[in-house]
Amino acid sequence: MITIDVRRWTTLGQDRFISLIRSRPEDLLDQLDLLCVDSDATEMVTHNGAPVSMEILPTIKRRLDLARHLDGLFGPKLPLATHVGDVRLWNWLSAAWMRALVAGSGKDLQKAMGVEDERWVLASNILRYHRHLVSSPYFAYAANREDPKKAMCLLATDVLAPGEVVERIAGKRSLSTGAVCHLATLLYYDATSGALRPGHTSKPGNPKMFSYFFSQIDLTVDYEGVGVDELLKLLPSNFGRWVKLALVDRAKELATGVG
Amino acid sequence: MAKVEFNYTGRVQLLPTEVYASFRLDGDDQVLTLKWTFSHYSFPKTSKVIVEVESPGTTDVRRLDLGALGDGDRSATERFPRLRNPELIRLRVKVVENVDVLPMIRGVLDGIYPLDESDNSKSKSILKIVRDDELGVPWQLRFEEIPVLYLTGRRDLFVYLKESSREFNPTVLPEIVSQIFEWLALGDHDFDDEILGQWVIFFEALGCEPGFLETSRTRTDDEVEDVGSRGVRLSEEFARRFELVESLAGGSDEGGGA
Repeated sequence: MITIDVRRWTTLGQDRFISLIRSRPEDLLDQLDLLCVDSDATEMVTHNGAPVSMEILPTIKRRLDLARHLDGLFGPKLPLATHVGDVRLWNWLSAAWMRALVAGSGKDLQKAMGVEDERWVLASNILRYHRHLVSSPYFAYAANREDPKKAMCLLATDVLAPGEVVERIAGKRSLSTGAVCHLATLLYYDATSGALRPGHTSKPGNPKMFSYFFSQIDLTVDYEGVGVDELLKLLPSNFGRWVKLALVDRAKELATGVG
Repeated sequence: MAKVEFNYTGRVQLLPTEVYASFRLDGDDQVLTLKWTFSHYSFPKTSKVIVEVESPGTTDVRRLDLGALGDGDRSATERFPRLRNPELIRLRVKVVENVDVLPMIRGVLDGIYPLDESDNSKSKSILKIVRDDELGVPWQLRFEEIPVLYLTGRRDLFVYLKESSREFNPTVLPEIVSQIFEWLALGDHDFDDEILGQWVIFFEALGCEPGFLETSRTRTDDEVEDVGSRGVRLSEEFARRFELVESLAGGSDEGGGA
C-alpha cells in the first residue's frame, strides 16, 4: 500500500497523459509515476487548505472495492465531494491507480490496458463516459448509494474487465439507478456466489435485450417509478430463465427485509 | 417525406411554452424552479408530475417527484445535489397516471434546457455555450444531443471570447451556423426537442425551405452536396442580416483612425 497526495492534471499534464495513453510506450508505468508528481503537469487538490491523501491499494481488483474505497473521499461532505465532476482529477487518478490495477490483474500491461483509450481517459460523451475504469465503479456506487447491493450487477466484476452488463446498464442513465438497476442485479447477479450468473450474455434475455426492452417501453411507461417486483412481472417471456432465478433471490431479499 | 408517427396510447406531447424552468447553483446543491400550465389538458388530478434532470455528456441523472398535478397549473422548487455537468442540465417532464400498478405516461416533454439564473446575458441564446478548460483550440462546436459551443478556459479566454471580443462573433458565428445546418440536415434528430425545434425555426426564418430539415434523412450524394451549399447560403444570409462584415470593418476603421 502506498499513500499519495491527490492531484489533478494541469492542461499540460492532461495533454501529456492522453499522449502517453495513446502511444503506450513500454515504460508507460514508469513515465506515469513521474508525471503524476510533476509540478508542471499536476496541481495539488486541497480541502480546507490541506492536501488530501489517498491510499493506493494493490489488493483491489473488484469494482465494488474500488468504489467503496473512493467513496471514502468522494462521498457526501468528504474532502473530494465537490470534485466529483472534475475530469482532470479522474484522469489523474487513472494514472495514479494504473500500476496497482495492472499488477492486480495478473496480465501484461498492454492486455490490461485494453484497446480503447476511454478506459483510462474520461470521455465527455454519453456513449463512452461509463467506460472509464476508475470513475465508472464509483459513479455506479454513488448513484445507488442507498443500497449498493442492489447495484451489484455494476459492481461485481473486475475493475479492468467490467463486462457486458456494465456496458449495457451503466451506459444508460435510466437503467443505471433505482429499481431498474436492482432488477438487472436480480437477473444477472448471483448473490450466493457473489459473481455474475454464468451465461448471462447469451440470448435470450441478455443485457442487450434488457436495454432494448426498456428503450421500447420508455415512451409509454414511467418504469423508473415502478418497484422491482412489478418490473419483474413486466418483463416478457424471453427473460424467463433469468426471472426464475431472480425470483429466488428476491424472495431471499424479502425474507431478510430488503425493500 | 415527412416523418409519420403513430400514437396508440393517447400520450400528449406537451409544449415548450407550457413549461418554464430555471436553475441556480447553491454550494454543493442545484436549485431547480419549474412552472407548468397543463390545466387545459384533461389529465386526472391525481396524475403525478415527474421530472428527470440529466447531465448531457455524463450518465448523471436525478429523478424528482413533484407531486400530484391537481388543477394543472403550478410551480415547484426542488433542491438536489448538483449534477456533474451542472450548467448543461436538460429536463424531461412527464405527467404520469397510475393504471392498476403501472404508471403510464399521459404527457411528456423532452429536451427542456432550463435558464441559468446566474447568466446575465441580455438574451437567452439557443446556442448553448460552455467553458472547457481542457480545450486546446479557442472554440469547438460539438454535437451530442444538441449543438454546444465550447470555448476554451485557458489563459482566461472564456469570458473574453463570450462577452468582450468584438471579433469573435462576426468571424466565428457564420461558420457555426453553417455547421449546425449541415448537422441538422444530414442527421436523424428528434425535432420535438425544444432546442432543435428552435433551430429549425431559426433556419426557416433565414430562408430555409419549410419542412426541409424535418424530411427523411436518406439523402443522395447530390443532395448532401446541396445541403452544404444551402448551409453556406444561409450562413451568408445570417451574416448579412446581422451586418457581421460591417461590424468587423467598423472595428477595423476605428482601429485605423485611432
